[in-house]
Amino acid sequence: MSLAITPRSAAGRWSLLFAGITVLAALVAWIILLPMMDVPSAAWVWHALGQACVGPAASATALGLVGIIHYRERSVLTWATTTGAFAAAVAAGVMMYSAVAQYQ
Amino acid sequence: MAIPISSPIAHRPALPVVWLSRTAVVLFIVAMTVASIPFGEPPTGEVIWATVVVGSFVLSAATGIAAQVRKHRVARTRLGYWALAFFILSAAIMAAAQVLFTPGAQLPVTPDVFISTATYALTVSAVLFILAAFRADGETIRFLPTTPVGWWAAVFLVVGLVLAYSPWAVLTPAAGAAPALALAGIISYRDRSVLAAIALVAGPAQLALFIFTFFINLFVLHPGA
Repeated sequence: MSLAITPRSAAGRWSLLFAGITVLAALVAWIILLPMMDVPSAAWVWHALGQACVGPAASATALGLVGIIHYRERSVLTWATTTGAFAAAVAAGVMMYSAVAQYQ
Repeated sequence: MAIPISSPIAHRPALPVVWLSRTAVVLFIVAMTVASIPFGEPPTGEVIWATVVVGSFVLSAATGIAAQVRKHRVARTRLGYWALAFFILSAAIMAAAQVLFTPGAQLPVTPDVFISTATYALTVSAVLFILAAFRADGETIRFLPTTPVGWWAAVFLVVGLVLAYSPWAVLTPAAGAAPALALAGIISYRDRSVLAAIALVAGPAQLALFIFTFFINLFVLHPGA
């Protein structure tokens, strides 16, 4: 059985693009936020980190799922990035919600 | 047999339509990504962030419009004129907000009302312009999405609207997947529907206009500052 590595559908390629953007955004946000980690408002620092990457992560997840479900996308890279992006989106969502949960 | 005729019209180096369109898409993605990233130490961090976001949105819109104008010569259609009208309306509302809300003015509404209204006008303008581009390409425009990607974009649009008014409103940035899905649908899968166009511009228009207001206020002198 031949196993494709790189995406075969357009949705898979878009998903890969947004997975790359997720990594980039998280990195830039981390670099910007690192000097602010010690102040008492650190909860909001984590919220900002989550907000930086939840959008691209959700995009990569949704695009990967669309490729897998509707366009018979079965490549290794798409499966990997879709699950990774889903994990990143959930983690970012938890980080963001935990910053405001005490006010709900 | 055709005889090659040398044209007396001088050859103008022109920006190719594909280059303009791709630049518009890239700048759009850059603007949306940077808008979510926190800015660094104020005031330089704020100014850099706001400049990058506003500049990217403006240049993205400009290159997108230029690509369509160049592709179809001039977008002189009814839809195009309505798009221009709503854009002028949006700009007029923003200008009115800047004039009315001088320090010390007592008004029964907050500036947010003006900015939100301008956002809706800008969204309508952008959607109409996208539909004008579809029609100029000779495509049939439907209301509901025609591709699975378009349907998912519409779903995320609705999810974003519901989230924004729910106890989990902090998670609304996750609905930023709607413009991404709409982009993939319109560009790669030729989805030519109204809902896909709305999913593409609704969230980003609101983001762009509110950050634009933030950008203007960075350079306006505030009393007591």
